[in-house]
Amino acid sequence: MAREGRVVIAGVATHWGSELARALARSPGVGQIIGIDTSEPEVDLGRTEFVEADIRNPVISRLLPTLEPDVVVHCGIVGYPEKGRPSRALHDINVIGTLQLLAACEKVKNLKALVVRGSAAIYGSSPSAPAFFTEDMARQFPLETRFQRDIGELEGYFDNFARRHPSITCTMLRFQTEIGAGLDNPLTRYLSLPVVPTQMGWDPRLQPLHAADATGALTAATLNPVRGAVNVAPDGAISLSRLLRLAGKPAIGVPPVLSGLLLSRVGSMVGSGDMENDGQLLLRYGRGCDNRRLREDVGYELAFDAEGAARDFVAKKSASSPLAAGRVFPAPHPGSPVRSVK
Amino acid sequence: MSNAEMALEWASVVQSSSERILRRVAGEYHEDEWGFDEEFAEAAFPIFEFLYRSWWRVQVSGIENVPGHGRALIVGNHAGSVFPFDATMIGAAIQKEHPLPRWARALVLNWAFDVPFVSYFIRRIGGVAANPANLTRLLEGDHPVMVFPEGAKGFGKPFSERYRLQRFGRGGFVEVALETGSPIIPVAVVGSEEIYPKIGQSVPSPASPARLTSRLPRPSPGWARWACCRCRHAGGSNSSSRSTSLDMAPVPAKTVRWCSISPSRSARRFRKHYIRGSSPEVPLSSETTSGFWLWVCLSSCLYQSDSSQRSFSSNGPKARPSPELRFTRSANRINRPRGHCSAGTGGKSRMRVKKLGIASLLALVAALVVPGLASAGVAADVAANDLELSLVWVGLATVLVFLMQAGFMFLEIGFSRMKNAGTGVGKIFINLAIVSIAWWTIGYGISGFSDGALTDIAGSTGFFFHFGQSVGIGADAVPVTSDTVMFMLFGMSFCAVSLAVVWGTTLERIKFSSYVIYAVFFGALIYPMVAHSVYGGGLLSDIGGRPAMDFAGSSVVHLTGATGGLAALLLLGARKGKYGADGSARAIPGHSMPLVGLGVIILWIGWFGFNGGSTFGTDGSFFAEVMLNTQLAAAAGVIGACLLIYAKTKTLDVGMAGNGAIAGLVGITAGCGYVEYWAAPIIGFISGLIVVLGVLAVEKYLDDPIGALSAHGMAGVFGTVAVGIFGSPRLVLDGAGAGIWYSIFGDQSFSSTFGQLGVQTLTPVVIFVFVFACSYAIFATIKATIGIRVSEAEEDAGLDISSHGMYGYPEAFIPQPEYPVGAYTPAMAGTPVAPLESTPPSDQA
Repeated sequence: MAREGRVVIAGVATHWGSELARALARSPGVGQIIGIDTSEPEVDLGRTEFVEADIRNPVISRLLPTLEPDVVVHCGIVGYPEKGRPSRALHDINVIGTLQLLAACEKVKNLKALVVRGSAAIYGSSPSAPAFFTEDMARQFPLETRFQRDIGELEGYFDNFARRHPSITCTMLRFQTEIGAGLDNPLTRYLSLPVVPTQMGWDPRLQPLHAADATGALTAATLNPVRGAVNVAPDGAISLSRLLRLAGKPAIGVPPVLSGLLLSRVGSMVGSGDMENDGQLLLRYGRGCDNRRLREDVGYELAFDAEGAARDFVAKKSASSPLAAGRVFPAPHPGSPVRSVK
Repeated sequence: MSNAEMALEWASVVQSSSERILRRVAGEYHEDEWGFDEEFAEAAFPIFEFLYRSWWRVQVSGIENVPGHGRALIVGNHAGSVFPFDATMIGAAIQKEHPLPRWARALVLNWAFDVPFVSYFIRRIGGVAANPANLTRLLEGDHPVMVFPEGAKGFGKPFSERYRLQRFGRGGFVEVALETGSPIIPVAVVGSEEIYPKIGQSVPSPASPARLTSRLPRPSPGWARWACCRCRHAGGSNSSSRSTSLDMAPVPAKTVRWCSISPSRSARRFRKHYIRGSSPEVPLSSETTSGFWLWVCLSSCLYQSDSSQRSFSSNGPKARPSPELRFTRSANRINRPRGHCSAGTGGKSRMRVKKLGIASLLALVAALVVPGLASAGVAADVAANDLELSLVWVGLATVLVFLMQAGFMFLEIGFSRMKNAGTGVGKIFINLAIVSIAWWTIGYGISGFSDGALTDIAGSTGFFFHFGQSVGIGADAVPVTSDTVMFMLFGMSFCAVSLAVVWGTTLERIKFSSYVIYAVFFGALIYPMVAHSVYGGGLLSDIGGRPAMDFAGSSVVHLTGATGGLAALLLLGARKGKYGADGSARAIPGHSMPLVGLGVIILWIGWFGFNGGSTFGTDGSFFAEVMLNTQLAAAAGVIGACLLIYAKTKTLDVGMAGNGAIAGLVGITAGCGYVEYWAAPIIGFISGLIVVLGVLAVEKYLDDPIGALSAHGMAGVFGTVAVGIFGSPRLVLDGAGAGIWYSIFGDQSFSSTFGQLGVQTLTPVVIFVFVFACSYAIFATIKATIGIRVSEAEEDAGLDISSHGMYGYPEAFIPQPEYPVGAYTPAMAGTPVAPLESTPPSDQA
């Protein structure tokens, strides 16, 4: 669909935007790659062209049509505060940014596909949840946390857009939490704590998505977009206790009265603004997503299942300790890929 | 097998299990995508196996109808009052009885996954939240899945509705089975309604509805009778009568096969303890004991994907869902309306069910322990012993209790300043005298038994105790003799102790006349009415059929005294100089720690009479048990108080150590005749902690010089409540429940122990309210008329000189000539020293 086409990546300076750009650059079928973001990516993106623009600004509606994209990939949805993206700005970045981007896409002639890198957080975490959410179950439970409501809101805009523009293949990718030795996100930082506090009496089922699969699935969906939502989640699930045991991390169960207090402290420590909400619920009830659509419709074969991703993370993590990588905790640029200092 | 071989075998067992533990700690085990951990389930299986094989002796028929592989939906009735075991027993049946055993998954109520610990335990042994999506996926994964469509309605229904199927839920599970082409295997579980007989027992028997109104529910033989009928019914050979009682409409009767069962050892034990004296029309035999086991009966397959009746052998189902079927399934699933609760009501109900879940977990633990530790209570019903010997003991105890007056005197004087030393002595004399007369004339009569309208309030016999009158009511009435007088005297000593407790709060500032006036009312009315309410057949001796248990008077004596002291204290206010301008409390240390120590030791010794004498005799040498309990509690009280005060201040406050002893003694006073030896130090230790915390807390607001409010009041309340916690079934009064401890770790029913705990909690409340109201009225009247507090100047000078015209320690205030006379005459500022007379001019002569 997007063969020899032109791809515009919004939010290219995010880790996943950069990864996508580099993967697409290696892909022979892709013509021109243009990245949009407010700041220049910190990694070398090869043949990707960079345009500095803010998708929250209505000017994007004039800019985007001039780029004449065939495919627009929105990677600018962030789930946790990063440098330059404080938590109070997340709503603006996620919801308003998406809204403006969709408005800009309306202006683009001959747009073939729109791919949004969303989050499985829309399903929430609930004790009565199905063990594996399928794509049609997104609004089965009330949207509880702020980030969940943001995702719900932008998916609402996205659905409307998709309905009004049947000619455009609109894909909403719902990513489970990513894990990877080189990755620096709240989950990996949480797992890197010397002693990991857990909620006493709870052992959530998690689906850590391997970073390679996260990039691979995003690339695959960009090259082969399908209509509607697609869960990006590994096969199987792993319980937090087992994950920690594999990682050799001592876990301390925090009793319920203290866990709210302590985990919000931990949340700020690992840089997840919503630890007291999303993270805490996730680490209590867990979440599982059905990935049949990804495998069957998008046609992406995952390289790692949940356990494999965890094992790979542990193996590579122990091979390169944070100190050896020259990283000081907490990371100076949370969310950016870790590069070793030569 | 030789020893060496056994050792080798054990070594290999140890090695393999330690290897397994290490492997699991390293995370090297398998979990499937549902979080089911087969190794964990296998490790937990012996518990269920035990329940299955030895506890309930489950019998199964028709297990071969469960397919050996491939998908299957097993549908059963759900029962079991608090924590149903039918799912685990069905699972165990498939594990143990099936030729091709496998782990069946269970759809579990959603809220179980919102209960900490329970949630992951259930998940690891194969439980999955009950919703159609999970069922679909499980069936598509060719798992056998258990579902109980009644849900919580099944096991949450009242005991009176046992064996009545509740409305099936609307989870759409049949629909899912249709879509996935899964065979449905109905299961009838019989007996699970009665797995918690104690809970059934706690429900009033329908045969005697009057019980409901007359008193709290008691264990009744109603349950046992019912269970016997039920079992004879089920254990016989007539299957049709059983299926009618089961009301299991969807199961075709001809395919249901039933089985009988012989009672297990536990059931026999149960019979022994709980079904003694069952109804005569049902003779006790092995066939008619109790409904305390469970049958699993599996009927043949009811439903097939192609709607044809087909029996499954263990070869498994032939039909597999076609891809088309799967396609339509997913299409259906997308369009199916969702039945989940909305945001508005979901949270609240989830909170409620979460609490329910925790409660049911506790109930599970308790219910599992309850039958196992059944032991018959043996009433200590010893025949009357030699009366004179008993009287000698009570007389000795009376002397010891009167000796406690000296203890209170030294304690209070030691905690006072020197200038107020003498007034304490006078107070004790006057109070003892007044109380003695008041008790003889009125008090004893009021504290005794009565009938008629006044029963709840006061006694009616024994006023102006004298020969020729009868004491007691009806058949219990006895003429006043040389014997009865001893018990009257013993009661008098208690009244004196109670009054002595009152004044601890009032030291160093109260007008002496207050002592006199209050003592009259206290000795004649307040204490006797309290004593009557508990010991004399009054209000508190029968609360809903249960007596308040206060063996020697934690509440009756000590709380009463402390409450009177509180009333006086509130009207008196703090001593001058106790609180600084900023409201901070200052210590006003007493003048003599040795006196305090002596006082405490005398009290401690006297307490052996106080508690030990409350046995009213030497029957069965029970007083020795009481005395040991007393000693253990006092010791633990000292330790508790010392540890806490040291932890808080890093110094070991001697006065606080003494208070710890007093608190331990007060705490055990109620329970000394009702608790086992091991409980006494626990009660004493906690009392010791309470007194320290109490003194530190009270001091911020109220000036209680010796800590009477904490040592006698708070510890007294705790001691009374503690009987409801630790009261031993061996020792408690007839009609009273044992302590709640014996429900949690023993065989006592929660209904009886909770009830008793309520009574033990209510007792101090009632006593406090009554005594406080009376005392406050009296002290307020005193304050309004003649005044309750001395003037400031008098307080400065000290009560000794201002009220009594003398000093407790004259030498401290009145310089005395020393030898050689006139050589040394120290000038003491501020003391009314008369100038010395001129020295005798002997030398000059």
